[in-house]
Amino acid sequence: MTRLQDTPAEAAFRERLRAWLEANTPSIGKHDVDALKAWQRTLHEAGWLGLTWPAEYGGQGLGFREQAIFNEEAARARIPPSINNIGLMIAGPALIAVGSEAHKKRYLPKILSAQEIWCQGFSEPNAGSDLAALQTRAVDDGDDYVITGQKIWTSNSLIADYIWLLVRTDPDAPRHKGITALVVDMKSPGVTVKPLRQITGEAEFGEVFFDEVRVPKANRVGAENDGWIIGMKTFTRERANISVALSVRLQQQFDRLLDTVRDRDVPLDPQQARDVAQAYVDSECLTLTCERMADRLFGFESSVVKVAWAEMNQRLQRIGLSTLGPDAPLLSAGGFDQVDDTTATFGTEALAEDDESYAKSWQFGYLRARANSIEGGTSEILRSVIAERVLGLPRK
Amino acid sequence: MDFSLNEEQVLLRDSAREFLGQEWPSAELRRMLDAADGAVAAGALWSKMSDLGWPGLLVSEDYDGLGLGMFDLAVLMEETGAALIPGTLHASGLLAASALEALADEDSCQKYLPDIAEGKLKATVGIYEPGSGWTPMMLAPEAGAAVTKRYVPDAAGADLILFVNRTGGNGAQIAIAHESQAEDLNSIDVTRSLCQVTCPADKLEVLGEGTIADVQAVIDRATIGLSAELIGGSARVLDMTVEYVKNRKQFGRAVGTFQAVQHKAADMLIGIEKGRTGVYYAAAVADERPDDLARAASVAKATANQTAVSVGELGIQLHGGLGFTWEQDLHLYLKRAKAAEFTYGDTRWHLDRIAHGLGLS
Repeated sequence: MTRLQDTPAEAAFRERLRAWLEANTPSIGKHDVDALKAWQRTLHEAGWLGLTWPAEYGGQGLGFREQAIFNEEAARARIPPSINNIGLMIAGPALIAVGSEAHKKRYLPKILSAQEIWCQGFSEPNAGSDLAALQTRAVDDGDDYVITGQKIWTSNSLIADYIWLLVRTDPDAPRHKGITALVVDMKSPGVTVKPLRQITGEAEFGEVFFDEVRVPKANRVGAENDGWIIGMKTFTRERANISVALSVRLQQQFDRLLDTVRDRDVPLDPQQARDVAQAYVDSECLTLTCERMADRLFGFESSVVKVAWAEMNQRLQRIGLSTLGPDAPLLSAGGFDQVDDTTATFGTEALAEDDESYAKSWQFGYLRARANSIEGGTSEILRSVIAERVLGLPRK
Repeated sequence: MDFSLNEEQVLLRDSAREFLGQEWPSAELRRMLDAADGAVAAGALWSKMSDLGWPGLLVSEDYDGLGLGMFDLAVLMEETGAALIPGTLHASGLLAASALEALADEDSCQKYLPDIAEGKLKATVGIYEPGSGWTPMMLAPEAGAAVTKRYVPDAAGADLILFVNRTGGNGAQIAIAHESQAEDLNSIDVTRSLCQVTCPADKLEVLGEGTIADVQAVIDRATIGLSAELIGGSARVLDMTVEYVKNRKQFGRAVGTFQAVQHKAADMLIGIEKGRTGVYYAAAVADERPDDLARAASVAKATANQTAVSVGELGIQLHGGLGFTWEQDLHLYLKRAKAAEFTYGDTRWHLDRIAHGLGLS
């Protein structure tokens, strides 16, 4: 048995993919929404997206190994960021798990083709880590729900066509039991989106306001008041998919770190060289841990790799910035000029077009990475999840 | 990359866990450490492990071994590390078996390896010399009147002490150190002895020759085995800690309900999962892609060092005052981790080697 080598079928898949990526990978600025949509569509049409999704909804019906190979090759080819990452990594997988047949047929193909961009409306101003405190109301009105409330930290909300939403349908039930999951058209009357400017200066996420928005009951996912369980399933998928996608990001970031280091006029001192070696060790171990734990990542163990990834990427960005020495604070000394995929970022109001080089810099990467231990579950919450759900420690 | 254990490996792991649970519980370990007849306990364990074929796990079938690979050994050594068995299996079944197969001539392999595989002959290997560090190119190219090796594992109880020496340039040799003097160096790890061994140069019986690269590969294989032992030990420390904080009550509730405790336990698991990946990866590389052995072994050891020391420290912390007592086994795991951290290259040594391989220095 071989552990390191692809099977003949895997090797053929890899070879075909590598050749395709070499011939087709474009260079796209991270704020060029139309070009990024077109790129995703190209990827999809060539059969490289939704690898693990069922074929009847536009997926490829393949296994995790093919997805892992895609991640490796995508990293190698330095493909542009994924514009519909919320749809591909969160909403789509959640719909596959809990959506009705009609929902899957309706939404999944257009997630893959980037015809419809998705965002996720879970957090609220008073319901962050304590998600069950959410207050956005959905009032039953005939064939519709009427929704009023506010979501916050909603990534991609500025460009999204649909929002994967948790609302409160029964304010009198125990708080975990009155929540319902809905799919809401962002163009519905009464939906307003406001960008939120981040510490990086740009507005990747925003606030979404709902003012008596009518949503057909047909858009409900699962039963009424079953939304908490659905939300939890969404989370484990979100963390699992983030974990899988990190293989791509980590390898790319580490390669860029090496590029930066090799471009320096002055060699690294021994401790800096050790820091870079440590980043190599960490990124290798973490990428491979995602593969090793693949069959456990759809459970609570996804938190193990999510926490590790957040801290590792933060360390890597810190190291990248420190290799610039006293130039570290200078935007003119950005460090690398490849397209950065720390995350796909849109909503360019706050970030001028000519700041593109900043968006590709170690300064940007360092600042953006501060969110890694907050987004998708704070590292504090996830450590408690690991302790209670994986190690079986008692809850308070 | 396929990390799944095959049927034989699952069987090996489960049977080893059961066997060691019966034959080497804490009480037996303590008998070895504390009692006048301590060596008897270790000897009894060795003879039973030999019956299972463990000393010959890596030895090729040509020499009556099981002919298994480093991945199989890593699976076993996670269990032996969890049980804190003494150093004979590591010294004889891994280090000496690898060194002989890599460096000794055919006749010597025929002569010694079957007995090592059977457990009849307990062998060990001295490599490190004062001043060489764990870098074999730094071994003295010419022997003086006597050759001294440090940090030789399990030398006191060994029937066969082998020296790996540099012979100038990239040349290396393996030799039996006859009439050698072993002095126990009193390692902090009381479960596993380290000796300084001195042998008159004219009492070295050369068994074969090879290159410094061969020597490095022997050390790298031993490094992966040691890393597996460290990760197995760390997993056991976490098990003990989880059990303790679930049951220990303060302020009217289990201390495991406190976030400050929970988050440290979570960090222990994160380190162990990462470390286990490093070990399995390096073991697979040793079996299938030996050209990449050096970097993979360094990934495994750098990670295992960090995990084992940190888990060992946190385990004591989360046991409170009890964790600081001699009576609890936790200190034995931390001491194993601390001693192993500096064996076959410390974290800095391995990071430097990776940095060098990446062209950074």
